[in-house]
Amino acid sequence: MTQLKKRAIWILLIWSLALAVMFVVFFSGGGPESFLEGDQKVTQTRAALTTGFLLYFIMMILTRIRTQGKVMLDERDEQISRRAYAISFHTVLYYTFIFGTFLYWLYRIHLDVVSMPVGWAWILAISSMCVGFISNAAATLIIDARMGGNGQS
Amino acid sequence: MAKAEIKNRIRKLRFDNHEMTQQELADRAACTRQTIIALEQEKYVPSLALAFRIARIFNFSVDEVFEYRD
Repeated sequence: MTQLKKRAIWILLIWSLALAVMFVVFFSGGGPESFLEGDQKVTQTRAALTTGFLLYFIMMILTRIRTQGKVMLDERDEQISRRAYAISFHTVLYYTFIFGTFLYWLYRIHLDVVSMPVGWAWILAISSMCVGFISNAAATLIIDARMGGNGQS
Repeated sequence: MAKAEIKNRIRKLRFDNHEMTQQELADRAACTRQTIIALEQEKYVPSLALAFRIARIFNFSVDEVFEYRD
């Protein structure tokens, strides 16, 4: 398994878990309307984000260990990375657009109000970060599999 | 636009060269074993530099190892 693939699996696990925790905290007990009542929920989501970044950096350091004279990343990995970054860029773009449009529709058209809970801005900001990491890792794994994957020696 | 295919005979050349392992070829060509696997499965087209390195390992020219088909 290449270093790139190992990292992608870890990134997928770490950020999927962080995203799940954030959404559970955000929508539990009153949802977005009560998100900013007291700092508890903001602190919990902030903790999920910080833990995600901590685990991410620890994983990046651990997977940097080089084997003697062995190439860890090569041109194929670079090609996979480039494609994965392009995919994740568009994924975050569409995610933010769809999320924003949905909120506009929900509050302005469906509920017919001119303001919305500011908690939505917080969850959109931190979840888009997770979506970026997750889509990049998922794209890496898919492209890697399509480009030969692990195979047999 | 017609899809071009790059065929290669890396697997055969490996076996003809004292059954060289994929890892050995990867180390000598400065790439990963997964790239050699992808090349042998013809799911990846190498850069010109890598194609030259692989051909040199087997003492062949690039067009003797890789074949371009329209």
